[in-house]
Amino acid sequence: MRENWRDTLSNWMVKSLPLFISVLWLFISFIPLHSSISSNARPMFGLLCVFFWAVYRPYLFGLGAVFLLGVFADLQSIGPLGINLFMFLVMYLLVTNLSKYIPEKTFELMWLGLSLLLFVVLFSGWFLMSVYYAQFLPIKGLIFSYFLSLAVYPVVGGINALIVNNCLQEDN
Amino acid sequence: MAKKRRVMFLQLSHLRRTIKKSAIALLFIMVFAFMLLNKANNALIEKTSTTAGEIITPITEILIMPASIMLNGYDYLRSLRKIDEENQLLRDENRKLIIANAKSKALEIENKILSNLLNYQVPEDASFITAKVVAEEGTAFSHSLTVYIDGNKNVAKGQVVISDKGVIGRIESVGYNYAKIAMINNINSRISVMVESSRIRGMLVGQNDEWPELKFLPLDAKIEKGDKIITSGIGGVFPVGLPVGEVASVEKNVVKIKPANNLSRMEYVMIVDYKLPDPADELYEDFVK
Repeated sequence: MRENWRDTLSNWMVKSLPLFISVLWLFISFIPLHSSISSNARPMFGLLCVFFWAVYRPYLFGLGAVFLLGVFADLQSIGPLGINLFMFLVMYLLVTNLSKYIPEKTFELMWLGLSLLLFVVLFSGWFLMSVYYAQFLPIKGLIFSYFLSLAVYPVVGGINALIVNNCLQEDN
Repeated sequence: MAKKRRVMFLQLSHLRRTIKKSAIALLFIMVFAFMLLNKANNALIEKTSTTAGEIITPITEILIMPASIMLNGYDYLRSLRKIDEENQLLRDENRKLIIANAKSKALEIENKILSNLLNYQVPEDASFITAKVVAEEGTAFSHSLTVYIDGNKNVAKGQVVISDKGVIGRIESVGYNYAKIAMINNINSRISVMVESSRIRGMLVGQNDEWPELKFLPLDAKIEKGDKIITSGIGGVFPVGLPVGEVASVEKNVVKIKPANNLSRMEYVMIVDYKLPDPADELYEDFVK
């Protein structure tokens, strides 16, 4: 009986680890860095995490996790409620539908895939925000954010991969 | 053979499958519903968002503490190098301020005499609190600061946020211990301003960019680089004359304003209640009468 209880708890912890790690990454994006770059464009840590987990551990990062992460990001922001959730859902939808066509998920290939998907996701977010505010939002910050996100992906992906290799191996 | 579980006339497994299939569509519908409610300034959304922010922000503060300590340490070490230079500057400034203080006292007396002569109604004294910045948001979609207000009940939505150099933004939402500030470069920030020297009025509009834009200027307005921009007092939120920034560039009718403050280096801010009457309330009262 006790073993069952322990198993359930450890299963639950393993299942919620990707979400927990993603929330930690989200927190990082709110650190005051006292730099003009960081106060105008930051990497989209939430989107990078959705991409990573949807590619490498989709069964541990389902729609529920995407929803929670999106709502969490929206509540921390002063932007309209739903915008982060929208982008996370678009990313999740694209990754889950396209990743089955990729036989080998090498890092380089995934980085290339991210560069394409991130562009689509950020542009769709930009479009929705432009509709919401009834004006075209400046694109400069978005482009900068896009390149910054691509540049930090090896770090985010690397740390997440370490967690996968140590705690979330498929045979475990 | 296992018995199939039924809810009313539907099979449970079938119901689950249908929900699973349509979950993503439902979530997208939810997103649009959230955004519509947000656009309509729904009180429930605002209240939920503020309450959730109250729970999330302390966790953010704790989690980002190590990084903040490291950054503050780095800033402190950097500032040590400039300490001699700053000391000399402060001494010079102090000398100038002593003279300015004497002049301002004389002007204050003169002002009182003239105000009495004109029967001018002096507005109530402003009150303020100083708040520490605990989180910063600077994405392509929004620019905000989260500050710790320590349960101060006088902080309210719409109040003016300034620093020693000028306007930073406005209070967007207030929780019990934390408040969110929409900065002047945030996309939905609108402040009625004027050019200090020529008194030409315009609207400072945030662009989610480093520098906000000056819009709605008269067609014949002559604006030059370096012109100082101050609040015009129209709208009833900001008093007249608060420094906002200066004209950074004028290109093809696009006037960019460089904020007086370095918005990326905010550590402490002042939240000011100018106790100005809200013109909308006055209009409403007149309407009711």
